[in-house]
Amino acid sequence: MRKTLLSTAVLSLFAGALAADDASMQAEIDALMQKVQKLEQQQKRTNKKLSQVNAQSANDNVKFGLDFRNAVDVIDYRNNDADTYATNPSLLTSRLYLTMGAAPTEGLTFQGKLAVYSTWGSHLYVTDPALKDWAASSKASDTVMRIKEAYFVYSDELGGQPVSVSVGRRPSTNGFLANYRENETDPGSPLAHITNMEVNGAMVRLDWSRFLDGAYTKFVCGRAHSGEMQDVYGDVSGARMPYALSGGDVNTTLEDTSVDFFVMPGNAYDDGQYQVMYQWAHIFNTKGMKLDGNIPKAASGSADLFSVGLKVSGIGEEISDFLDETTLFVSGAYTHYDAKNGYTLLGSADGGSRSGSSVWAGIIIPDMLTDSGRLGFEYNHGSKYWTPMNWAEDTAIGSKLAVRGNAYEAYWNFDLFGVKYLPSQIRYTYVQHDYTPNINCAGWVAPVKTDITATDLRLAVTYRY
Amino acid sequence: MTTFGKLTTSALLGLGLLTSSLYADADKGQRLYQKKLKTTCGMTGAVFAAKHTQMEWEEAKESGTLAEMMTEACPEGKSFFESDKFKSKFEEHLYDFVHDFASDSGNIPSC
Repeated sequence: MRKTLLSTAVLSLFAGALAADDASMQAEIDALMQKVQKLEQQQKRTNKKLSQVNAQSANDNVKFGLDFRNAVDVIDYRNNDADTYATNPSLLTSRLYLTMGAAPTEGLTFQGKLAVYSTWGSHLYVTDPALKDWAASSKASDTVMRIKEAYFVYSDELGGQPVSVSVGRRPSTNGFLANYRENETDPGSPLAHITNMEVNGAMVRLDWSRFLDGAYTKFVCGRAHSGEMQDVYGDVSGARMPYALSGGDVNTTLEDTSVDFFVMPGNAYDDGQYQVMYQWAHIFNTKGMKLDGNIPKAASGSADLFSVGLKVSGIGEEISDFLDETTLFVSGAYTHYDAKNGYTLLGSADGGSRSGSSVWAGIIIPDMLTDSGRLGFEYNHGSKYWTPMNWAEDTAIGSKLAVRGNAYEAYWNFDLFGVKYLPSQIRYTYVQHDYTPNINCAGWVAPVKTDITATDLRLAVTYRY
Repeated sequence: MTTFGKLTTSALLGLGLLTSSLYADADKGQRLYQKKLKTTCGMTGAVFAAKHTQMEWEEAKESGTLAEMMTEACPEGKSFFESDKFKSKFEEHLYDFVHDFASDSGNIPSC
């Protein structure tokens, strides 16, 4: 009995002690839980603050990027009719792009690109008459830094319709399909088959992707060439009327009228694998020849350019890595120049017209040698009067896309040392001109039959970050 | 071709063949998203990536829950995110892409 009572007492004491231990342990656990919750809240606040700081430091300034390319071009021209030739075994060039971007608030962005594109040991200022504002940063010349691109984009919705508006110096070079041969990831805005020029303009973009994958249309109008006017402080005769023309009319001798354009590029469809783009461009007052007095560079009429291109990024659906990484494209284009009465364009009759067409096809495949290298092969054909507006194309021997004849090109895009910040290229371009080479804007020149071959081997190393 | 041309071509060819280990590619990730997920998810890649901050994407990647986080952002893509191919072929590239365009990345979309 005593034993039982003793045992009971011991058990009671033990249970009490246990209960006390449980209670204190629970209290400790509760305290710890509170601490953990507090720490979690603190962590959340810290993360939130860190995100704000991150966003602020990234957004509250202009972000700069660099694209610095050094290249050597080995150039050769052969006029097989005249049995003459011209060569340059080492055209050495440096091209620096200082890219800028800012997004101060949602829906508003700014993009800019300052450029220096020079030949090594160039003249201080290159003033070749044919080198215009529309190709100033796209053709190797001097070490002057110029604005290649600078524009803002404001995006919003109007009654459920996404709309973007932009004004400035447009991203109008190295557009759709040309970015591969330029070893650039993202193409510029227009279709490079008919438009590759540095221009200023205003743009409205309407997005149709709620109806069709990736569809949109842009409406762009701008000025490619400022016509004749007095200089900064007016003319020298004391008229003192800056930026205007005496008499308010175009000089009857030169007829140097401003050249304006309306361009309508767009995506018809883009699901990430299949992309179809289209473009119509209308050029007002395009330069041709005034028949009375044979005056070149006169406002002689209008031009319409059309292009449709298909790009296939990846053949089939996961058949193989090689096919997944293969890109195919084909593009067709048509140009139509319509002269006014008393004028000629591309050798047309008085008030007549000239039409030309072109095809462009290409394939880009993995090089199977390096991690990210690509081999590209392209073919171009243009007819006698084929005259696109791509004078800013960065090919030392002149635009191969504008060839009136055939052009063949092969390139290897790879990362030097396997470093993705050092995109490099070996590119060989072979151009057979069957008619007058179409290398700059010269609507007053009538194409004639010829036999000229031009080749360009380019080796380029870029630092891009 | 001139001696100069031959020399530089040979040098660049040789140097070009020096490769590094495979690295993830944000551009490829962007293309993958557009090709395989944009229609399914019903949002652009930029919107998808901006569903989380850089730190949140990083944490998910480190803790092995990236597929879950992406599924949360796009429930319709569940089967894709849970597929073997996602893990073996696409995850690295897609991660690079979403990290580059996270809500606090400060990256500026192009025109």
